[in-house]
Amino acid sequence: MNLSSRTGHDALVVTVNAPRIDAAVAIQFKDRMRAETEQGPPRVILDLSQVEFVDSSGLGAIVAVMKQLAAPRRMELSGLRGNVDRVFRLTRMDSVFNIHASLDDALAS
Amino acid sequence: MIARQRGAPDVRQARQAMRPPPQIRFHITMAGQAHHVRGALSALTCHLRGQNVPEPVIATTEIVLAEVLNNVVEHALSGGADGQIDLRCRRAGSGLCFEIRDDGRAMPGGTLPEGHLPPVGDRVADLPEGGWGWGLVRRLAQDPSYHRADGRNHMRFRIALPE
Repeated sequence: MNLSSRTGHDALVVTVNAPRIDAAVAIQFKDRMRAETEQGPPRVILDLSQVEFVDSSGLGAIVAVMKQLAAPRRMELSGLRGNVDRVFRLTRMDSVFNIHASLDDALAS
Repeated sequence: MIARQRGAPDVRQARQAMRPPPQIRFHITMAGQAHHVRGALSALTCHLRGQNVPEPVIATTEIVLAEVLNNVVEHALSGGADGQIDLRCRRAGSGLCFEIRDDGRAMPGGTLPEGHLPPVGDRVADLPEGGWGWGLVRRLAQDPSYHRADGRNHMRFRIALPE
């Protein structure tokens, strides 16, 4: 699972460089995210703009990562594409996360 | 006016060309592990795309099938390497019919779960990390059914095609 991260002045941005977060990689995603978010600013933005598909295992892994962040750190999401956005809305997880249309929007907010 | 007269048959032909043909038939057998499910989904979506099935139908199909197949892997087969899953898809009437068979454990209670979505509370620590699978299937698939026969699980559902 290819993730890349960079730290700006007030946010840690983690980009998922993979088309899927599914049952085949959910555990790996959680482990890699834990390592990427171990340190850094309180604001974490997960950029999903390259992700085309998330199943319920992948969604559970994203929620688990958010739960692992100690308060006041909080994870926000950006760049949810068609089917990914749909899974978040159908499961009502869109109400849990602060979701931005794009990474630029997230960084500007 | 002239443009409309000329254009109309072209539009009709284009629509007919885009309509998925009635002979969609797809069959794949996979080992009961998550990365094989991924490969099977990739092969199926590629096939449907090649048959001009509309993208929204393919997107819905992928969500539903991922949940159904992952459930088989995690619960019926428990991720064992020797379990087999059989997936069939065919065009029938105004939809795509799917049948999934596996040789794993029976569904508890002999029926499909009702698919209530886990509640979303206010506390981050209490958020669900799963339990959405059957809720997604129930919301997106038509006529899901299950039966046990010959020591195997058989599950069927339909995904509607636009008229």
